[in-house]
Amino acid sequence: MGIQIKDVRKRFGALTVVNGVSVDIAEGEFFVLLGESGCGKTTTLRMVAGLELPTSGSIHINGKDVTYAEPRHRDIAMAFQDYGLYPNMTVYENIAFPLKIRKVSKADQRRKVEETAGKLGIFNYLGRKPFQLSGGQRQRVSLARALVRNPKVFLMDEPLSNLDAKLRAVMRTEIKKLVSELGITTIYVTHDQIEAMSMADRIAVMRHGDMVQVGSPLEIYDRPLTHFVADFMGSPPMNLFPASMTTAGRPTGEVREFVDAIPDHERDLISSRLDASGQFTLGIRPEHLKLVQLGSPGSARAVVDFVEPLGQTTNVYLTAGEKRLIAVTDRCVSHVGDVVGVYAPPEFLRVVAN
Amino acid sequence: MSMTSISTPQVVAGADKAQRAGERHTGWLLLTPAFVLMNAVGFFPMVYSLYISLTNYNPTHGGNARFVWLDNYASALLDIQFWHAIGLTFVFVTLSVGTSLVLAVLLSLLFNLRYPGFFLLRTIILIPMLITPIAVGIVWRIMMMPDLGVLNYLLTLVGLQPLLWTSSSSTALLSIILVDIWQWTPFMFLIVFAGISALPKSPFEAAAIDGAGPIRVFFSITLPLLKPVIVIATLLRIVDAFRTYDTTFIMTRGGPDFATDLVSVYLQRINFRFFDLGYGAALSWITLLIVTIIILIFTKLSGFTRIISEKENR
Repeated sequence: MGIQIKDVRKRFGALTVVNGVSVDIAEGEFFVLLGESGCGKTTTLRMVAGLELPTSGSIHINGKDVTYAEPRHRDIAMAFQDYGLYPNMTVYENIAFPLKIRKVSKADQRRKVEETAGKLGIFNYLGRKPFQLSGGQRQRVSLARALVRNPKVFLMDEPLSNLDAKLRAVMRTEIKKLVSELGITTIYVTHDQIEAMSMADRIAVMRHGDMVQVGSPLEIYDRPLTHFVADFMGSPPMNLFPASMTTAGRPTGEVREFVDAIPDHERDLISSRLDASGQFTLGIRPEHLKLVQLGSPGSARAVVDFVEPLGQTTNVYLTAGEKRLIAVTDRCVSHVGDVVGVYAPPEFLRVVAN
Repeated sequence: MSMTSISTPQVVAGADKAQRAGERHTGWLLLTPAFVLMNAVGFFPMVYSLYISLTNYNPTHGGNARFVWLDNYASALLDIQFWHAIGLTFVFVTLSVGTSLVLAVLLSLLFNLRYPGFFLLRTIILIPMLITPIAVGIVWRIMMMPDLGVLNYLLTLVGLQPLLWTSSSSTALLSIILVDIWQWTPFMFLIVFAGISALPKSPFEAAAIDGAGPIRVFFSITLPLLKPVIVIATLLRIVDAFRTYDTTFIMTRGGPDFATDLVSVYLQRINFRFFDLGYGAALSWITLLIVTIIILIFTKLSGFTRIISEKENR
């Protein structure tokens, strides 16, 4: 049950957009495809929807091979980035459309439409046409139309990207709540890591048509496998240092003190993360870097370049040797030009592949 | 300090006012040629024809025209030949525009599949509307000749009875309608196809996912979304079809037995063969009134004004 995507590829002429993606999505799971634009996440979703056909590979929904099935034979619902509402129909007619096609009786149509519209707070707009609604209301209509027929699978293609920041935050929680209440298997496409982190049961980070890492939000945040994932997730992004290990067991790198502090369990990972030329990357999240007294044991010498007070926290931009770093600290009293010690607690140092 | 800051804007405002007045004059100056020309070739002839329609003006009778008030209009109401022409024209417009519209929509749907090679075919399809109507008339008259025409040859080739086409009063009207459809379907196709090409993609994808089959998609989404475009194309064609003259005149001269005596052909006869210009002007004004009423009914029925205002709000 759920959705199985097996080695799915998609080529448009000479251009490979999706490059052999495989993933098992459990029934009721909220699965997010995350990546920059052009990474193949929307194409992957559209192949699950049946709006594009894969060049090779297979897609199963609830145990049924739907690789080449028409969208209408897949029992899926979809919310589009530009809402995909029927401009000629009222909100009521929009939501009732999938029911009408399924020949649901008029009375049942009315009951279900009103119930779903009530749940999404658009009951008062049922008589309006889409052009008379705001972006947030239109997106709710599109969600209502998708949810009204209790689909097995719900696909969402950047549904919040046209909304303003405040509304986006509200809708994020609403969607998550609704979908998990109904237990619908969901694939959600976004380029926004905050959406991905806050909504997903699991995230697949995509790049150049590949799924580079699949895991729970915290797993991906805490243990990025590659330089790209480490850099992409988190704001401000992870501090990353080029490092290498040409002699087994003796890594070297830009900030000596940090390389020396790599704990044993991470040290064991190095050999599996090395590229062909013996290079890897050492990373630490900005919130884990500590500013300490200059000369404290295990700390590196750094100069404060810039301070960004954000209220609750402060972003401190530093230079250690040649390397620029960001530390997120509590409200602090650092000033531009201060010479301080930066300390990387070993338990937070991560070895990632380039 | 404060004095300067108060007086400076006043000076600027003064200069601005003079400048704006100057700009307004320049605007009128630029409009003048078009304004004069429009009045000379549009407004003046219209008013003059209204005046003539109240006289018995006929240059072949010599002497001055006499003012006859509404006599011409009264005669027109009793002119069986005129109402016959109006009736024929109505049939002509309805059948020609209606069929063209259906064909244009079907062709647009077909070409919207965008198979390779369609681009060339699409261009070829547009050719009829580029041909001079006179040439169209001559070519079709030859093709429709009962004994020498290629159409009858083709009919006999597939085992059908040859037709008299424009030579028989029972088939003449249908023949000129056929030619009109042939010539003007491309025009409607062009507009409807542009409309189809510009439709947003996502409602169609949403419909596919919602479970709609192609026929439901056409009637529930494509057609309603195309309605503004269809209404405009139809309006343009209705007005144009009412004026059809050249092709018909070349093919049948209104015959045989007045079977294709469209109002334009009849008006031509009254005005430029009998030179009954006073009466002809009155008939023209009545025709204009009828066309206007038909257009108003059409716009009302099609919800044209509502469509436009919704479009503007979108």
